[in-house]
Amino acid sequence: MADDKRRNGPGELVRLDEYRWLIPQNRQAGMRTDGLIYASQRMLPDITVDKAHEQVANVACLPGIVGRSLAMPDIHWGYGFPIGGVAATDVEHGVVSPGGVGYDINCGVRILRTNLDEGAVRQRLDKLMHALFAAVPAGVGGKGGISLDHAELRRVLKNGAGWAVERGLGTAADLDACEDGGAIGLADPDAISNRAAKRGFNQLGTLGSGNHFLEVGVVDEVYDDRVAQVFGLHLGMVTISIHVGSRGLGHQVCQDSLEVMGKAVRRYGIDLPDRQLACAPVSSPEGRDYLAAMSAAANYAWANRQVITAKVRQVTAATFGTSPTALDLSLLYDVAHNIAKLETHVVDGKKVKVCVHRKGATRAFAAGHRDVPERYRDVGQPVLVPGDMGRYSFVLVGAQGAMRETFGSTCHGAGRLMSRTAAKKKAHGSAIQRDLAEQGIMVLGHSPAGLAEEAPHAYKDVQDVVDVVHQTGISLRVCRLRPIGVIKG
Amino acid sequence: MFGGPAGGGGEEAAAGFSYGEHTADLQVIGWGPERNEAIRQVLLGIMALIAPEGCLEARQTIEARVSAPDPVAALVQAANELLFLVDTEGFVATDVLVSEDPGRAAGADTVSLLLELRGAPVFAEGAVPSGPVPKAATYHEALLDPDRAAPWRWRARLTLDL
Repeated sequence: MADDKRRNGPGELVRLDEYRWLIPQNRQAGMRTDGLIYASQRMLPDITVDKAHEQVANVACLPGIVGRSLAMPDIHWGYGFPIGGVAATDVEHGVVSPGGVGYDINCGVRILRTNLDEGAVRQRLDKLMHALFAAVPAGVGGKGGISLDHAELRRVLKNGAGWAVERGLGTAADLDACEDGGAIGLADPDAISNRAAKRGFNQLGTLGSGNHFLEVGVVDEVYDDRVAQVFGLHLGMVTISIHVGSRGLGHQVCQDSLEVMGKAVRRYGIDLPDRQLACAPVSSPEGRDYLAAMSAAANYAWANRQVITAKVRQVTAATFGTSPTALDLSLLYDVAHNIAKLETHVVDGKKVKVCVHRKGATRAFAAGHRDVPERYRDVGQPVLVPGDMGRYSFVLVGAQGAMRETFGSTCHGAGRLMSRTAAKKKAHGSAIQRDLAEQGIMVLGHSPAGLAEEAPHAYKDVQDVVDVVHQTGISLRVCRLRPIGVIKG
Repeated sequence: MFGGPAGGGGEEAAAGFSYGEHTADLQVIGWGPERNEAIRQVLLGIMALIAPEGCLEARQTIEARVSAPDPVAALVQAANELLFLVDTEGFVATDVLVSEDPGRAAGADTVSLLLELRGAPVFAEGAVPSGPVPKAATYHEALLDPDRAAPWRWRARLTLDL
């Protein structure tokens, strides 16, 4: 095996095989374990051109890290953790780091099935997209969102998507089709600050800005008929994706926690290479408080996606002059992309309880795992991987490789290739809108600059990312979705 | 002046801001003859990212205070304070005054700043941001120190999560 190892460059990555690249523990002082990046040779120049791989090494410095510091093939330069980073820490002897979750706690994606085909939707696409654009508020703050008082916000923070379902904004089946049933039990509304609450009072049901979106797509390729059938997907089916997180409330929870963790780092004598990795022992008061607050913010995000789902159902049904039930607007699944979870994994043959940080990564539990909804348990959980707005997205299925190697985790998207500034220099938002229209993709956005920053050329080809996770067996291709309508926040 | 280097002469100006490349996010770099001016320039740089053109008439002044254990933390917190006001009040600062607020520092916090923010609640009034609104200012590669390459000035840098 040693003979197969080839360095990509001095002090850089060591090739383990076609898709696995090691950052040896001795590469940087303070590393407690190796780093491991999943990528193809072709992707490496884009990964090593910025500081993403250094961030993988930095994460390897976290006390109590179990296994390797991992990066999925959509890795790119983040702040503290790389985007696409996965790290598991021992719950008794390790730390939890808010930087391993990020500001947009439980930013995630869900996909709704429909019984519509592309032809039917294209006839009313303009009407549908403008109706969705009007119905789902986006941009700054919470204009157009649901207003909550203190008591109601507490219920949202505790019950997540269940809060919305209790109010008629969904069904029990929706909850069954959410990671964790759409609420983490660790959530404690008392753990969030008044400032976080203030940001959450009126932002429920809003899309925000940045890379958040609604997307109407078509299943244009099926790779695994059996799993697609279990997932209720088939060639030609129109789907609707919703990508959004916990909005300002989550951002504030992260900010508040970083200030607390900054002091905790000194108190517990933790030495870190990047201040954004500030952390505290999972079992410490600071660690427990963070997990309680982060879980509450995660629940807010699930409620947010559920409220938006209700609006999407209502608008889509109205556009087609029927009911959501008649259109079979059912939820395929809802996954978190930014989260820390207490999970049990097998490490070196032993079951270990760990805190799995997924920063721009998706849970990918395999067939048979008890946390996979019963209807999917024979095949594994759906993994939803959005791409850029001009090419395609993927539905994958969790696989045993993820359970063996990545703490049940896989990629979360295409991963940025180009900085926002560079993307804006390359093309104006209106030109992108026009080009995509020529490709049959209707794009609506709240700002031309925002569209330019999210242009297809700013992202890696998600096909390349998915090829790596498929070839390494950490999740497997099921379907590809081609966008026909996109609303950018 | 708003939305560009205060001296109008790019990197050679006495005070100003610019943007640094970052794959996913954005770095804002500010500089000035004093520490607080470097902080101010970073704050102006953040507001220039999101402020819609034509909505920049200051009609309101808001005071905000931040206390932190060190200057870099104060810089991060000051930026997050501005973003908090954008998110909750729709308030965009068109100018910022940064001064010491020594009486406020307490406990482990050794740096306390008073921020006087002149601006308007443009987003509350329906204006649309000119681009994505940053989620937060991060500690990643944050700095606030005398510029070794140009010792007559201070420099400040923040990475924003977009």
